[in-house]
Amino acid sequence: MDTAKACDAAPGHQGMSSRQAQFDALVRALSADLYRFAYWLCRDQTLAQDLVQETFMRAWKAMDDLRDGAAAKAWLITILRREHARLYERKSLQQVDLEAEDVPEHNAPGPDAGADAGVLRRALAGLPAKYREPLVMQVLGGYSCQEIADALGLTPQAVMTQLFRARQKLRAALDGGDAQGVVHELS
Amino acid sequence: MNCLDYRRRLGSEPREDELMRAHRVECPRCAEHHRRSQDFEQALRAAMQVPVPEDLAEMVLLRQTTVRRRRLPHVPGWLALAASIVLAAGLVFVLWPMASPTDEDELAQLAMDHYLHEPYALDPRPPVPAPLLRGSAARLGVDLAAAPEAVSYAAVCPMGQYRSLHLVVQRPEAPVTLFYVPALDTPERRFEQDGIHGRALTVPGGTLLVMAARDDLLDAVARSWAVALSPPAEVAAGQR
Repeated sequence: MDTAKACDAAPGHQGMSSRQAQFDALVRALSADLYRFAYWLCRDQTLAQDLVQETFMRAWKAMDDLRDGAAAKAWLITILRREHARLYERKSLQQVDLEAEDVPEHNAPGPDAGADAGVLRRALAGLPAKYREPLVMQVLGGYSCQEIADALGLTPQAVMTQLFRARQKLRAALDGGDAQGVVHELS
Repeated sequence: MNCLDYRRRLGSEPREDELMRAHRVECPRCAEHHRRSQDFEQALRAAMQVPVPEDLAEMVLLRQTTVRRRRLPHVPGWLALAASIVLAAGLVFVLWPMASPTDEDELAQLAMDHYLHEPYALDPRPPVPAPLLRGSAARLGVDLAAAPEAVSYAAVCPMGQYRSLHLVVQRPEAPVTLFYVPALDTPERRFEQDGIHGRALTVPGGTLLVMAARDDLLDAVARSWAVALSPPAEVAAGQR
């Protein structure tokens, strides 16, 4: 009786190259990044956890599609964005209107950095999705303007404009203005 | 490139290309703008680092392994009914006797088969990091607060109908393998096959099997890990 099936080995050591070990390593390496990405997409901690869970479940089923380990993060973010879109289609969820106290605080902010981070988080949470999503893709996902444009079905010029406006709004908030306020664009 | 172009591009793509860099080097005002922009980008990245639930990775892995084990292929209703009858018969005539705690030979054979099937698990490796070791143990409901010695291999392994925590520790004389099977009560015994010696013993949370090419290593390793894998006294008392 052959009882020795593939083991769910703990990653971080050699000798196991099974699908499960690869999946374990992906989860441990990228779940935090994915959670933050999900959080800034939906601005809800519970929903962000659900999105990460669903993303990895779909990733597990499609692991054979992942041929380049270096592309894993982009691959997972693509799945997560689809899941997020599907969730909104399925449940017809309303965009969440966040109060300041709903935005989680940083683990260990410095005195000034903490104040800025709090203001920036509230401003980020208040940004319209069309500005917030490309910005999160760029800052957290490491996407280029061209890659964001491809993913969102926009022109690179449109993406650059959205990114520029997003930053202007956030800077305005840091300077004591309103993230929804008027933006003075360079043109 | 002029100042307007530079600042517009920097506002949408903070990573400069060669053209932008060349302009900045020659333009003190844009160099100052770049410095402020870098500060802003740093603050933005920090603001996006919201705290992550501590057990998120474990929750994902727990769900994945649970779904994987429970998923059955879709079959027509009549076939499912027939399969249920066969399965019920199997449970009565096959699985129940196998699950009996008196069938220690079966468990020892499962452990021996697994040991011989995975010789690479015995290879010397850097110690498995403590959080990963705890994570593997936690997947079987074991709170491994402190390992008594470094572990070179850790995995959650199927062993027949059981799931086990498969560990290897490197002793100077020879590697020693441990299988911990939770919630299983097996009488203590020794076994041997192909020069591999084994010892099975019951610990408060389940059964521990220790195996090595040298019989004299088993008792000391078994003693130290039996304590580490046992639940705290108050938990054990509460289960009685």
